[in-house]
Parts: sequence; structure tokens; C-alpha cells
Amino acid sequence: MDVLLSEQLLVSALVLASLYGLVALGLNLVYGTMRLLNVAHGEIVMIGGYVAYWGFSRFGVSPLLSMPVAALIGALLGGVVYVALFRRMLRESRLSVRIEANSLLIFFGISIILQNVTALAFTADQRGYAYLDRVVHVADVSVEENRLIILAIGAGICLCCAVFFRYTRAGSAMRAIIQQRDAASLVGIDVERVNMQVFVLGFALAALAGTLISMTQQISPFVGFPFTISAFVIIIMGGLGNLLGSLVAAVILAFVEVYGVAIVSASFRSILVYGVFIAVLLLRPQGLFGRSIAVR
Amino acid sequence: MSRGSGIVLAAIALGALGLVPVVASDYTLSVALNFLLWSALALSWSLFSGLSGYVSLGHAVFYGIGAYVMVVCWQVLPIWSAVLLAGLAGGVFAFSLGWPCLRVRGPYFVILTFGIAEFTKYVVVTIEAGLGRTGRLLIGTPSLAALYEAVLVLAALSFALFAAIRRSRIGAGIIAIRADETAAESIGINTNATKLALFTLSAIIPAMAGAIMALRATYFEPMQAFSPVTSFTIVTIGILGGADAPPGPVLGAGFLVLISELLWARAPEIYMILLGILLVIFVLFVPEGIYGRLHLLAKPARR
Amino acid sequence: MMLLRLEGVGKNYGGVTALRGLSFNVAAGEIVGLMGANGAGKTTAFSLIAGTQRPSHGEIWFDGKRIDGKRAHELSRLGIGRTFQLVRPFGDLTVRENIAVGALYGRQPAPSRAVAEARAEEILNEVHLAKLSDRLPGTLTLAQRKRLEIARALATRPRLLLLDEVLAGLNAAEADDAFEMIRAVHAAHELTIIIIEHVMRALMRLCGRVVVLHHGEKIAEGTPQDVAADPRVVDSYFGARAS
Repeated sequence: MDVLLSEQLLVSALVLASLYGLVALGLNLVYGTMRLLNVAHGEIVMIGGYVAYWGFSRFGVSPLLSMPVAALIGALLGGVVYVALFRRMLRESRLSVRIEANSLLIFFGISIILQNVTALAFTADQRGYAYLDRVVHVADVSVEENRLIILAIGAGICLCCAVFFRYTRAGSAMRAIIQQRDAASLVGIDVERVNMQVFVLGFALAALAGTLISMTQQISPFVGFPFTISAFVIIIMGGLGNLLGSLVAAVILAFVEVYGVAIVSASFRSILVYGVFIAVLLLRPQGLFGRSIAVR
Repeated sequence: MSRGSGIVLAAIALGALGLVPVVASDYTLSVALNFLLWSALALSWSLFSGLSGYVSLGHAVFYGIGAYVMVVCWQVLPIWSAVLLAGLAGGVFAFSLGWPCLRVRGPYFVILTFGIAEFTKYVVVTIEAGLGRTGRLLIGTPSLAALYEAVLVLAALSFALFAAIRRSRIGAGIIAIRADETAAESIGINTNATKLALFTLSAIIPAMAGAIMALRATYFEPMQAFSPVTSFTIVTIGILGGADAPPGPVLGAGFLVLISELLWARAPEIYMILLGILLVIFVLFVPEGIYGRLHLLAKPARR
Repeated sequence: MMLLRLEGVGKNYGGVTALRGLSFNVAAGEIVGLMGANGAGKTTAFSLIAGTQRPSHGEIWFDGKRIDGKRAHELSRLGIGRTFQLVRPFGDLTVRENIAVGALYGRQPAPSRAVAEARAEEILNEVHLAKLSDRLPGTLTLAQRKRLEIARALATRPRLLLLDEVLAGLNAAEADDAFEMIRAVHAAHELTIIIIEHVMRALMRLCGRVVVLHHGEKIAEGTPQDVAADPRVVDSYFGARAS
């Protein structure tokens, strides 16, 4: 029982929460504006991780410096995916339900492609590196330096995003589309351009999260998937399209995961995450903060 | 093609396929078996997902359950009873899940089925770990030829079932549901019952296939038996070949086995990349699949 | 004989009251109009009768049986058919197939596909859609799609047919055709019809009786002439009368 009260666990949970918050933010943006469920999101995270790994192990570049590079690569990928695959599909507004299911399959195909391209390039072995893993002591707690940095950077990026959404035109446009897609174009918002910006931003955030994650754990081509699942749990719990809600849900899930595993055991982690996933989808598809959808 | 000549053709094909073990080498036989296996899986999947539009991305769960039933009943029950029991288990599982899950629509249903498959996988892994087993070995399984004939029967059954359902009243109902679920309900179609019935039916043959393939592999390991790659492959076959009519999944399975024979052993990553690319291209440009496209081209324009 | 009875039926959505204490009856064979300004609760009333929504309170009786709370498909089997304000055809199916599905289900399901198609053939001729029978709904005009919607509902052999603004969006000629078709269909089958309509001319000529709603409540009921002259009804549409 003592272990539950340890500050280590608290720090782990906080770090995970900030990582989850970043990952979920990108996913939620794409969903909120375009109703697309990007199941390849975790693979973008994975790619960000590999950029950092490669930069460090090959060139000795600090992952912190790789971050903008990863973000750029993510952004580019986002732009390409949107223009090549989704722009056309979103234009032809046939049955929207089919578009949502079809787009999910497209993203699924993309995730398979990305996983296997990475496996081809780097082999399927786990890759890790040690960076800033010196232990420091902050107010009675011993924690690795990189964890603190992640916490700081993660929180910082979330804050920047909050500012972006509140005070910039582009950010407001995104929020407008999330709230009322049709009305947004009526007031002169160039929906296609914002869609593109959303893809770019969402993918960039995912890649950023990936570089941070690579500092704390080993990565492999298949490490992205659990993050996708967790991100889905978070955005559904927080309410699809509800950016603030997903941040709150990220904290909740991170704590449930870290403390749940501490109580039970590590091998139950997958059961826990998928169990929560199923429960959330079945019981409250509108999220903890969304309105109740009356369906018979 | 009229029904009469269609049935004669099917009988001939069945007979020819049944004779394969007599003339073919073990290698050819195993390729043919894979073809029939994927046909059976994809046909069963299409029966529900193709007609209803509710894409199940977790169909491997039924396959895995069937395999698990087989290994658990190994040497406890006669083999073919175990296969039937596996089918029953698959059906019961689908029925109990279907009730809550089919109320979830669109893409949420897709990821929900995926989540359930993964969840079940980890539960079985945990159970096996709890029982102290890292894998199970089956010794003294039937011959390849016998297993081949069994899978042939499954493939034929799933083909016939799909064809029959499509022509039936319930088939008309599920197709209406796919077109507009609210309107379907308003003309008297019990949408919940219809979806549940077909979902349950779509689980039985994959479960039996899983049981038979456990005999083939002689080894059961839950991460493998419940692998999401199986689900992904089934969906890809359905999309490539077309999930609207029975020849579609068969065509898709043939295509897949062909690529697989060429690439899987030598370059598995390239094989998967190719499948991913094909999935994306087909969803975007040929959503009706190869067979659907051929069908469209053959008919004179009526739109 | 009262085919349909609504007693004190109400519907709340969260804080909004869409319908409040609505009571009216419909006798077998009548054509009753349901009128009211937008937001008056007309489509809500239809949803409750047809089973797509459940009333918050009150009772609905159909053919002597209590039906509030039953699901839409059960009500279709009992004999309630409906059209939707924004038409919902089965987009992948041809016009004929759309109607044939209706014949396979509904109140008196056809025993086989062949019989269903035969019934569809009859209805196609009756509603003058025979020439379009192999077309897809997406290629039809709005008037034709509305006709298809009615045809599909007819295929379910309803005893009560709920028509939701079937004339909306049609030009004068199309509306007249539709109007005649409804008249003919009503005469040819044992049908009771409730029709929501804004097109006054049609409502007045078609209906024996009209019920007027305003803000979720019934404010008038009677023959079309009586209702048209009723000051409360005029007020609800135009605001205070110019005096």
C-alpha cells in the first residue's frame, strides 16, 4: 500500500498525463473538425520517436533539438496525407457515415504501411537510448531529469496550443469548425485550408509527443498502437472535439493506468486499457463531458 | 448466370477441389488450404459486414475462440465434436456481444470490434499465464488431407450461406439497413434482431475454421491465434474482392494467397506494405471490390 | 370507430417541451390534416405515433391497442406507415427494389420475393412510377422521390399513413399530381391518413378535419373552413391580426 503513496508514482502519472494530453490533442483536432478517426495517429508518434532516436544515435543530436525536425516531418506527412487522400473524399459529400467508416479503413491501411516501412528501415527490434537520465532531487522526490523536461515541455506545448486556439485567427477558425462545420464556411472560413492546417498541426503534435516518449521508453515499429488506443479512450471520454475535455481525460487515464498497474500488475495493463476502451465506447460514447445523445 | 447452371458449376468446382489432395504435393495442398481458409473467413465476414455496412475489424476474435476451444477440448472430446463446439462458442460469443455492440454505429463500431478482439486476446493470454502455460502443443492431429477436406466443407458452406442469405428476406432487410437504418425500421424491419442474427451467423464458421487450423498448426499461442493481422487480412480481402456477393471474397482470397506466396516468405514487410497500399487504393477508388467492378462493367448502364 | 387516439401526449427534450398534453382522435377512413407554424410540434407528434420517439407522458392507442413506447418496426407491423420530411430512400436500391422491400415487411409481409416484386409492380403502376422502376433514387427529381417514399410506405400495407410535408418543395403542377395521387390511393385502399402540410390549398381540399398546433399545444380542431376562420389560428401564423 505504501507504494501507492510514493511520489515516484505521482510523477510517473503526471508525465504520462502530459504525454497523453499531447497525443490526444492531435487526434481530437482531426476528429473535431472533420469527423475522421485517425487510427494511424500512434504511428506518427512512433515516427517522431524514431527521428529522435536516429538523431541521437547516429549524429549525437539531442532529442530536444530533434523535436522541431520531428514536428516538421510530422507536419509534412500530415499535409501529404490530407492532399493525396482525404481532400478529395471530404469534398464529395456522399453518405457521411460511410465516409467515416471508410476513412477509418484508409487510416488503418496507412498505419500498416508506416509500421512496416519503419520495420524495413530499422528492423523490428526495440530501440532505446539514454539521454539526460541523471537522477535529480526535487523537493524530496528523486526523478530522472528527462522526466522533468518532458513534463515542462509537455505542459508548455499544451499552453501554447491553448493560446493558439484562443487568440489566433487560425485557432479560432479551427474551434469554429469544431462547433459548427456548416456555419463556419458560411461566415467565410476557408474550410479546406483549415482542414489542411488541422492535419498538419495534429500530425506535428503527434510527432513531438513521439520524440518526448522516446526519451522514456524503448521504441519499436509497433509501439505506436497502444498510444492510438489510449488516445481514443481519452478523446471519447473527454468528449469528441472537446479539446479541454481531452486534457482532463488524459490526466484521468494516466492516473488510472499508472495506479491500476501498480495495484494489480504490469501484465494487466493491456486488459485495463482495452477494457476501459470498450466500456467507454459502450456506455458513454458521448464522453464524460458531452451531451447525452438520445438514440432509441 | 441462371441459378441452375450456377449450381451445376458450383458442384463441379466442389468436386474438383475435393480431389486436389489426391493429385497435389503437400506444398500445393497447403496453398490450396490457405486459399479455402481465407475464402471461408472472408465469406463469413462479408455476410455480415458486407451486407450491413457495419465493418467488423475484430473478426479474428471468433477465429481465436475456436482455436482455444479446440486446444482446451483436445483429447477430452472427439475432434469433430470439438469443431462443432467451437462453432457454437463463436456463435454464443457473437450473440452476447452483439446485443450491446450493434447499437454503436459507424466508425465506432469498427474500433469497438477491434478493441474487443484485443481485449479477449489479452484475457486469454492472462488465463493461459495463470494456468502456467506459454503455449499448447497438440500431438497426433489429423492429416493435411483430412484438414483440407474439412476446410473445403467450411468454404463451401460459407459460400452457400452467403448466397442464400442475399436472396432471402433477411438479406433484403440487412441491405435496407445498410442503405438507411431509420427508414428500414420504419417499414417494419426489426433492425436490432436482423443485425444480431447475421452477426451471430458470421461468427460460427470462422470459429470452426480456427479450431481446424489449430489442428493444422499443432500449436496454440494466443497472441498468434487472436492476431489483429488476421482481422486486417480478412477486411482487406473483403475490400479487394468485393463484399457484396459470394464470388467477391473468393476472388479476394485468391488474389491474397497469390501475393502471399510470392512475398510473404521473402519479404514480409513488403507484403504488408503492399496490402496496406491496396487497401487504401481500393477504399478510395474501387470500394465495390474487383468483383463489384466487374459486375458493374458487365451490366449495361442502368443509372 | 376510433383508429387512433392520443390522450394527453407530451414530449420533452431536456429543457424544451416540444409537445404538451396533446389529445385528438382519428376515425378509420378519415383524412386529417395537422397544421401549425414551424416548431409547433407536428413532426414530433408523428415521431411519437410512428415509434421513432417515445412520449414523455400520455397514451397513444391504435386499433384498440396501446402503442406508446413501442418501436417503429413493431408499429409498422401493426399497420402504421410513414414518410419522412426529408425523404430517406434506400440509395443503393432501384425504385422497384425500394418498394419490394416494403412489401417484404410491414403489416402483411409477402411470403416470397416473387410475390413482393409482383406487389411492387402494382404499386409502381398505381403511383405512376413504372417508367422509372430501374432507376436509382439519386437520379430522380424531388417530386419523384417523394412519390417513391409514399409508394414504399404503401407497400407495407398500412392502415394508417402519416404523410410528412409530401408537397413541400414541389411546384404547382407537381403538387397537383401528388395531391391527386393521395386522393386516389386513399379511395383505393382501406386507408386512414394524417397529413402534415403547409400548402393550405391542398390541406383544405383533401382533409375532412384539421388539427392545429401551436407551441406544442392543440389550439383548434374542426373542418378546414372553421379552422381557417378561427382567429387563434390566424394569429399563430401571422401574429396579431391587422385590424
